[in-house]
Amino acid sequence: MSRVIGVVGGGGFGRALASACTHNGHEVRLWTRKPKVDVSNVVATQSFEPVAEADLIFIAVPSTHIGEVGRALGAHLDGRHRLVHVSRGLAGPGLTTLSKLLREVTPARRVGALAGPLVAEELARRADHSAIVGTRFPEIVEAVRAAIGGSHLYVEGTSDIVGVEIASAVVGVISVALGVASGLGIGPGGQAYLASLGMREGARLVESAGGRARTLFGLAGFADLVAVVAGDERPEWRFGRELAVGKPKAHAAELAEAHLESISMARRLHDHAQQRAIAAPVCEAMAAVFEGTRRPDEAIRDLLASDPAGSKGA
Amino acid sequence: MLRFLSERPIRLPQWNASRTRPGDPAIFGFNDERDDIVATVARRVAELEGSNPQHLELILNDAAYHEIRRLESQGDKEAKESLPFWRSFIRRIAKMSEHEKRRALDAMLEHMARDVAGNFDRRVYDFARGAAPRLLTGLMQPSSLPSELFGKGPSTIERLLNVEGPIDKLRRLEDVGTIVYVPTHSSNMDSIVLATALDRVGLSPVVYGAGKNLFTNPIISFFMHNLGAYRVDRRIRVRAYKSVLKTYAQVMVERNYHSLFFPGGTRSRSGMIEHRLKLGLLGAAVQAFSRNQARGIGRPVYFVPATINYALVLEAETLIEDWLKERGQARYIIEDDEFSRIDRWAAFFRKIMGLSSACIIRFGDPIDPFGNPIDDEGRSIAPSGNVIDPRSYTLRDGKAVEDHARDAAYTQELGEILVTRYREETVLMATQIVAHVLYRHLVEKSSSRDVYARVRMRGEVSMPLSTLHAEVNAVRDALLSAMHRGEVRVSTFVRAETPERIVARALEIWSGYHERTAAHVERGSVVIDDPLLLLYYQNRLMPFAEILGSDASRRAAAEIYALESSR
Repeated sequence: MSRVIGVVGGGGFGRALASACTHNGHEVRLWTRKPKVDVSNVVATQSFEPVAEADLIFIAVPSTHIGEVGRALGAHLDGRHRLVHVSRGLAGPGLTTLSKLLREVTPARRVGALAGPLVAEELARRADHSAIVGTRFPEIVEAVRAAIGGSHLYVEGTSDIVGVEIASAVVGVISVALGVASGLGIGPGGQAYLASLGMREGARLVESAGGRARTLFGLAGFADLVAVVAGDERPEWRFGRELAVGKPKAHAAELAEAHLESISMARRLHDHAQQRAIAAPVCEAMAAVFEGTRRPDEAIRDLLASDPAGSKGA
Repeated sequence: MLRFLSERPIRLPQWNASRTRPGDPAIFGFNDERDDIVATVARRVAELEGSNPQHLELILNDAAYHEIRRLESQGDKEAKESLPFWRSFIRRIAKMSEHEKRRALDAMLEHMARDVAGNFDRRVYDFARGAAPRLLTGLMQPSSLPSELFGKGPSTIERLLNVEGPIDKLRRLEDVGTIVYVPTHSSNMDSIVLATALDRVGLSPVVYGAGKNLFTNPIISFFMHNLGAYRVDRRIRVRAYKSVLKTYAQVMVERNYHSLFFPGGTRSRSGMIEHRLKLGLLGAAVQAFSRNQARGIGRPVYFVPATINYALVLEAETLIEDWLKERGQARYIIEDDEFSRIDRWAAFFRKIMGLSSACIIRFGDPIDPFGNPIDDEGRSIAPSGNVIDPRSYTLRDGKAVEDHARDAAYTQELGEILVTRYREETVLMATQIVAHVLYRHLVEKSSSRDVYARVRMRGEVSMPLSTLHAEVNAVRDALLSAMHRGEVRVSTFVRAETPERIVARALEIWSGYHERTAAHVERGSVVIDDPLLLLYYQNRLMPFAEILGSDASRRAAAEIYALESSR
């Protein structure tokens, strides 16, 4: 059935989602700051009103803008709207999940987080891939499936929305670490060890936020990392490789500005973990690398030499 | 005789029972609707539970099995009467035709619904609101009876209660939609106290589920029965019974009966503000809203978070002892606590009689089932300040529909909002603040011990009065700034009085009622006599441990949360 679907954000992910929706025969209203977009059959708008005519709206703006954009969009919404964000970020120093932030700034309650090994380029290319929707509302999983799912895209659902959002943020940081390791020429065994360190800290962070550790076994965690290693060449990983070969650190800040969420997430996840007496060595090491206080090769080699038992934490 | 009274609700003869008038709250017409309500509840549960023929047999077996187990362990008159029936019934189930099974289920559900349904007698209500508080006070303290009955001005009971919150708004909303009060729960007195408070400020009476154990006191039973309370027998473990209770609560909200639920489920054992809720009844109210919308009934439902704050808790000693028991041994139902002992009641009332505002009931601002605030006209307000239609939350493809999975998700979120609201609406009193300062002092002095060892340290640790005063002052200041940020509330007494008076009041309240003294003054120091009791009162402050800014406060909180999460 053809529906009207809203997409907020004209970046890579927003455009890929819009294209996937039109491919499934839906009519897309794409809100973007830029008046022109290069997606066929998609009408771009700078007003939220036409977007609010859709029941399902994807939010594809960076976490730092979700509050502001959500507030503006929220003025046009009511209880019937379903909001699904695709960000790997968390908001504020308290690491508020973006689904929670959306519930605070808009009247929408039916919210979800789209995560997992979903990469904009592949979504647009319609390569085989998979995604997971974290939501307490089963109807949102159905709606996302109808919007972008199909023979090439498998969409799974889980009610552990907090788990999905935290896992997604942590995997983003691990992806950069894996990129660094790959750039340094560290072999499969070393990369696997790094991934396992990251997954352990992910499990601790997910549980401390009230999510379920087993969410990390699925598409939001484990599978998402496998896709990195299998070579999906996501931006986080590419950035890690650039770091390894010694790109200047101004580049990190620039990329953070271009909304690579993981760069700011590493420090914030680590601070959050520290306050709760949780060990988060991968986030700690990557934060230092991003801030230029540690060399990438040192940081990764120290992680590889670390004792996982010593990183058990709380 | 007592047994007869407690098992069978007493009702007054129906002659002279007054008719309802237009504009009366729904509860005034309850008796005319009761049969219809009972039939509706039984029918809906039958549809819900008995739709699948295989499932049908399971339900009947479950009922028979659990009832036999319950009756065998009770071994009372009810057991004698009903056991033979269930024993023969359980043997027959497998041989029954589907039609017979269905009829058996219908009969069982009808019986359960009837057992749950309450009564409402306008005459009892009028009596209760007029003379009963004075009479009750008089019974508790016979010497005051003449002045209570014939004196002018508010009765002592009324002086004990302080009611705060947006009362005028609630009065207006009563006529616009259905109000569901969702207070915190610390004592069996809560429902009585809340009902009194509603009446005092001119709000309509509510229906609420009361544990059957509250009906064992014949006087209380009489009032509860005739004032709309429905009976919840926690001993019954039958699955269909839980469904009957939930459906009953839902039907009452659907039919515009202002209701009272305790989302905490049972009384807070630890004395902590509820941080985990039982979502069953909340969900019933959310579903009531959806179902009405789907059937074209646009009436809103308003949830009113409320806190019931006691300076002295009747059952404090039993509750905290029960909480501290090793995991798994804590009792879900306590039948032999202070509430069931008239002598404890009398002592309790004697103690609190002289204290004004010993109990503060605080009604919070109402919210819709989706957590949106409500304006003075009863409309839901979005974060943008726009008015939104709560019906929109039930829409699917433009149509209002019932959807259990969706409503369960809404309910979970509502529960989370309530937990936050409870914290913000909690009114902290002298006993809780002084208990905290003393308890954290004990934590500092016994850092190598665990909670279990610590609470046995009776009379071992003392604190100089001057230090206690200074720390109470500091805690009060920290809480006051938290109050300005809207994070908690502090009682007027604590706000206005000196630390010396705050400490004196707490010590005075504790002495004389509780069987053990919590603390006493000896040569310029306060000696901690009963750490367990202090633990109970100080637990109210635990969500604010970060605000209080002392290491001992944080350590106590971490320890208590760890214990709590192991239950």
